[in-house]
Amino acid sequence: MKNDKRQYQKQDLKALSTLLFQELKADEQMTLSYSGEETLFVRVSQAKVKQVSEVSQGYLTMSLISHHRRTEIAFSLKGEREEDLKYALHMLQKCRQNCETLPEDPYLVLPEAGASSEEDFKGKLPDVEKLAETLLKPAHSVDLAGLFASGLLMRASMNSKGQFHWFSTENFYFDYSLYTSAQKAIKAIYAGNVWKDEAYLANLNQAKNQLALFERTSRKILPGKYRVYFAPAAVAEFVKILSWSGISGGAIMQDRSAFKKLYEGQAHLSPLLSVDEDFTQGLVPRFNEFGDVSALRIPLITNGKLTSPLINRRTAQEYGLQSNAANGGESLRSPLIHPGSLQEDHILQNLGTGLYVSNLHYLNWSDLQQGRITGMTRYGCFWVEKGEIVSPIDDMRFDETIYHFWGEALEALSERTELIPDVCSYGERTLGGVSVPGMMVNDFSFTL
Amino acid sequence: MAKNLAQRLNNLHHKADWLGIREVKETTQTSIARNGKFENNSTTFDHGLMIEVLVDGQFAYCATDNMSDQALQVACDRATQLAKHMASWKVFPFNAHHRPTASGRYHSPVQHSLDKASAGEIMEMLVDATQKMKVSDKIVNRMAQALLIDQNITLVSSAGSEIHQHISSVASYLSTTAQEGTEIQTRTTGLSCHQGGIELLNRERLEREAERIGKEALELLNAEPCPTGAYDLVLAPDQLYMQLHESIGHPLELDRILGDERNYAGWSFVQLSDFGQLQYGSSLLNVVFDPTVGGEYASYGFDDTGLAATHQYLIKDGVLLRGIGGIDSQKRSGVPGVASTRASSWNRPPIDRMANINIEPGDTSFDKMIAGIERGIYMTTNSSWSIDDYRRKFQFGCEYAKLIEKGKLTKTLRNPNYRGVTSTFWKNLKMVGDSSTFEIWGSPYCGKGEPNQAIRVGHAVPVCLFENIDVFGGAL
Repeated sequence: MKNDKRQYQKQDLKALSTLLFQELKADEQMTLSYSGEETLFVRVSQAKVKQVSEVSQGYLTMSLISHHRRTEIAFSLKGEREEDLKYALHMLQKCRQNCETLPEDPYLVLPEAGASSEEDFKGKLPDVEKLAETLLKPAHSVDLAGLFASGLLMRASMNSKGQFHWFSTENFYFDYSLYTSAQKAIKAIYAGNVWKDEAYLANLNQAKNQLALFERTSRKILPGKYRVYFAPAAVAEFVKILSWSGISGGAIMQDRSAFKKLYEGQAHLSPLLSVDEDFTQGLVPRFNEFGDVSALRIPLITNGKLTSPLINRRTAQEYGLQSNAANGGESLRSPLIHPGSLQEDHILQNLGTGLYVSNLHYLNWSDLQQGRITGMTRYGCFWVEKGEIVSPIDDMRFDETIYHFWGEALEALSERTELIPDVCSYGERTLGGVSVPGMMVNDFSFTL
Repeated sequence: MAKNLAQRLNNLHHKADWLGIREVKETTQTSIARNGKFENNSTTFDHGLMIEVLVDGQFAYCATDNMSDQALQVACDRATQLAKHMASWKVFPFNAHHRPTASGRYHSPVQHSLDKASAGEIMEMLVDATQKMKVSDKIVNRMAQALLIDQNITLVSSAGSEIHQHISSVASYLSTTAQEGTEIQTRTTGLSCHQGGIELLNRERLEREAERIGKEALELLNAEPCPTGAYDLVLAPDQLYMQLHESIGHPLELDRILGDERNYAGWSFVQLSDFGQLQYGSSLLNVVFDPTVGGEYASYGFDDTGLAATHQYLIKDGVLLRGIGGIDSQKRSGVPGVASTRASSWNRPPIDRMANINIEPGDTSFDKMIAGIERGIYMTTNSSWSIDDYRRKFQFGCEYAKLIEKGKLTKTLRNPNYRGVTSTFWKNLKMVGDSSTFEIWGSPYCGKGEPNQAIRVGHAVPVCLFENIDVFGGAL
């Protein structure tokens, strides 16, 4: 399998795009974006292999602009140069036919000339032959469910003005959870570019040790307001929902964002809160599907004030704003919440009496205009009294607004950020993750 | 295509106990207009193969978008290798009898194929629909979207299976936002999803719906907030289908009950011992798995293991009878299931999924249902949804509601929400609407599985009345 997609690394894609651009007529412009991967997935249930699969795929998205009209066609690349070129030329014809029938696009994003870039991150992935034994033998005494994924991910953007951007990385993750006989669970993940058996064992043993806390009888918490410490994985869930009707400049301008009030200065967040798009870790490409390259850091929220939403060139044109090279969906790609001063060793002591929430589940806006979010606690969550863990809790539903828990109720952020890798794999594996500290919040509302 | 693929399978060199190939060819066209103008037109042509092998009791999969004979052989060899590597750690010892031998065809009910309308004709319809939403200067944003999918699935196996299914579908969605001062309200049509041809994208219907939601968005600007308290709650089909999906569909999935989904989508409060025993809802509740409904979004003839799909009761007279799970989960659990092992595309292995999960209509007309309510709330069109990983505690929001007073619909209410616990909620089902209230809905985006898979589901439901439900408004 490996030979197929590697043929399309850089040189083959360059050759294909050059030939395609040569076919363009004088009044045509084109942007191409590529997304490909070779991934091994091992799905685990009850510390056994449920399913194993391997996928080799690559999609080229062709965006043609002709006479102020635009259309986009995505198609599979097969890894055979001549056949792919023939098919791509056929797709170009289809694009032209579509453009002839479509009305003008009032906010065209034209390709621009600019610097090109190439980044390749090599990895050392575990050997598939002994993978099941490596993953599962040390877990023999526990009930484990999860997904192992590893392989090569590739992204590229090219345009008819001569830009070429390329990004590839080899990485892996084992995203898993461990369960007690009473169905209480702890969540863990081991991820990176270089697999080390000893690092995985340490990760697994730490999770096993934490599982012991769940042998205590679970406590039912009544609805009400509680002091809560949200561990980084829980904070990451709040950050992720901002990509959906939150931080998008277009969503704000079209009155479909929870940040509308923040943008218009009718509400503010805590001066403790600062959020950036941070590309310094190199986890994701800095270029987007238009070929625009982001700054290494984009301040989004600075000390509680909205510095800038994510704005792509299309939104910028429509509303007369300044683009910060956001992607088409104006979603977060590599977000970072700045850490605070809460010492990790003192979290429970600082919490005193309240809830320690390690993970959240199924968040959704329950009142978008008010920035209200509902969701559930999940996995390792505890009731804490006088700085000591008393018992795990039954899962609770919350319903609370960002203007409260990231506003006046935000008491502190922990001193260290943690990278929570993005393990989303709808259609393809997602790159990157969310870097966040934990947070201490007062009077957080639980409803059910 | 089927015959050719069967020949290609027979030409493969392999030592698997069973071998299957699933070829998927899919064209997806998305068209969006906003505020009377073009917003986006995109098409995806996707084509690939998934090889499935059974070796030493372990199923393994290898997917490729390279359609050459050489690539097919490489994929077959790789899948065989993976199965051997994992067989010592298999969760269950499967055998070749766990893949049925079947032949057949399925076609969506299509009057006119999707390619009969040009990209420009579809865009013009959507642009015009957004113009119809502009019923006032207070309407500040208008959007219209169409999603056309043409899918061919061919499944062949070393045991002689040969199945071809052609699925054609259309989804449409209109949305409008009204603003007055600081009050902002959005009203949509909900996502209308059906199988069929381009005839489903009907200009008159779109424009009629566009005008309706424009007027209702304005109406919501000056509506009272939804009150808080315990109320009789009437749910329209465009909300009830989401309630059904989240609190009956997902918890009945056998792979969830077996614990396979614990690390992602979640577990279930339902136990294997509950089948045939558990009173899931009131005796008025009848839920079916029915992939045979013409025009419903997830109709099909066979699942992706080749199992023939038939109408089955999941819940009858309120009692849980059967799970949503295909052959693999049925064998592992010992619980009766349905033909529901499905993959989102060629690049994912099939898992237990919903298809068409429907509530059968009852015998109460809408007018009679409302007339019998002293004080209640009627909610329409889902806007927010959330439920825990055991599918117990849920919360839903709707776009538009009416107060029910002394048997009549009276004031319009904004920001209506309700929350509850699954088992109590369905036992509080007091009336089920008749066939005149029965509507077909669905979604292209049901997410589940590791690796993740978004799949199309259908839900047909009547209007239903639930008593003593915790209702509240969304405002602070």
